[in-house]
Amino acid sequence: MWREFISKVRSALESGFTLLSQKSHPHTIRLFRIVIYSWTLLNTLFMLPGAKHFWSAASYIPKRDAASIHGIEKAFNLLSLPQLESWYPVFIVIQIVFLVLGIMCVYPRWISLVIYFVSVNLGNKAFVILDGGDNLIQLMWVYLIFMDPEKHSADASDSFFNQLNNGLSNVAFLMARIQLVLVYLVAGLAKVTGPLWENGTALYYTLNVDEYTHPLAKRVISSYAVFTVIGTYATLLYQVSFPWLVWNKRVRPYLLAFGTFIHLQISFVMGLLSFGFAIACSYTVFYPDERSRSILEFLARRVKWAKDVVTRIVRSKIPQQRESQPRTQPVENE
Amino acid sequence: MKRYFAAVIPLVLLATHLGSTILYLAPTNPLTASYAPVVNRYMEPLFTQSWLLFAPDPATDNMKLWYRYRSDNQWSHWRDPLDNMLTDHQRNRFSSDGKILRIYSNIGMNLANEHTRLQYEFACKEDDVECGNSLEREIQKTDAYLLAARYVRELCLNESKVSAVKMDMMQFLIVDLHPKQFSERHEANPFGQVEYIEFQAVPFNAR
Repeated sequence: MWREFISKVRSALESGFTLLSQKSHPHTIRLFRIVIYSWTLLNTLFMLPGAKHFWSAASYIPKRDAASIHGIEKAFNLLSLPQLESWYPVFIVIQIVFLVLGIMCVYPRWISLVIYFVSVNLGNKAFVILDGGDNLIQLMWVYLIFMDPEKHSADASDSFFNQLNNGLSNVAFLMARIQLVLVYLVAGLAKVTGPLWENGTALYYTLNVDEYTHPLAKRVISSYAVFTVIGTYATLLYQVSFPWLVWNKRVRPYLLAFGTFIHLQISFVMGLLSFGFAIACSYTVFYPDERSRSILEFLARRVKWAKDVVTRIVRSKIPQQRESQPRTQPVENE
Repeated sequence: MKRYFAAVIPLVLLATHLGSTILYLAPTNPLTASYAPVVNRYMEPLFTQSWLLFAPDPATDNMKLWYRYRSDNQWSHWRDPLDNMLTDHQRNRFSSDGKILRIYSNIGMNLANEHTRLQYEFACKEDDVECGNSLEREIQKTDAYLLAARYVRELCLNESKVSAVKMDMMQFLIVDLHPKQFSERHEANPFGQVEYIEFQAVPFNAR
């Protein structure tokens, strides 16, 4: 009996190890990388017009005392050092260039490291503007360093490093999912203890804060109590149920669709654009691999179409340029 | 054998990281003091996180920094410097106004926090003018006050360029506007409760 038990345990471990050494969700990892880095790029581009407010020496963001920053923290607060304070444009340019490379999945791990390094430095300099969405994206940047977005779903080869690579990638991917679950678990449980969430009026008070409202939304929420109550309890129920329901593949699409709706509301009604989009982009980590593959194929077709259009435009101009140039040599037949 | 190592290493990393994250996010409990130093050293700064997002209760008040100036011995009305930017932000969510608003709103919040801290330290009685003056002198030395003064000075400077007004004094205050209670939402008054911290007027060109 013991032998049978040990044999079953060994076979289960064997299956587990085989599974871990094969890459899981290769297309979702690739899509997740493209979405997160695309959002990071867009966020930076939105902030560019106000760059001097965020990063310049004349900014009104309280300066961190460089002498109080020690150890590894110094590497992530370079723009707080007086000698490097005015170098923020360089950091921005590097970030943009490397984000484009990151979206193209070129040298993924090295590019991800550089993206993390410059982005965290930029974020820490303008720390006052960071919110929960930025916090989550920063963590996803770390996990992306370990995820391998290679296109093919590699079977476990004999190479130790390949298997270790796959194992690290799988674990990072799983941790990204668990991280999102933990966000909702903590936020949801904390809300349950709040009296305004409990009595269904949280949405009314939030939408009466100038920074988090829109005049129309404020009017509607003040006039119709039903929206306040439904909105408050729907948000609460969603956050509390997400950690459990998201693992159910049948419920997941509806759950994520509803979550996307909530976060788009946060972006456009409450004005927390980066927060709402950051969380919604993170949902990509829960996409099934087949679905991610279809989306990637669609994107690849669009990119190919765009390249073809550009090539045709360029080619159509070249013959016109050749005809308009004067002949420099006589043509033999004439 | 190497397949086991290739699997065990990531599993150990996962267990360590997941366990640390859970302990880091766990509410304060009798065991926190024993594990927190180790967990925090691992988690910070790479994995620093806090998920109290509008929790346990959402923001419920509008804290603003208002300013005014004196010209020809007459004080102007109190001005809200972020009013126009807020309107622009509500009109166009894709601009950087939302983030910029946060920077300038933070000036008032930081100043209010410093004031609260010093109030607690000084513990002045309500009619103790001397204590109140000492508190004011102390707060004028803080970084939060100096930042607010610099901000208001720039606002006054911009306004004097536009309106060609000669200013000699400036003043600012923190006003905390609480919305109407839900049960009073149909009443005519624009706000429920208003609290404010008024700072002493200072010469406009003072550094």
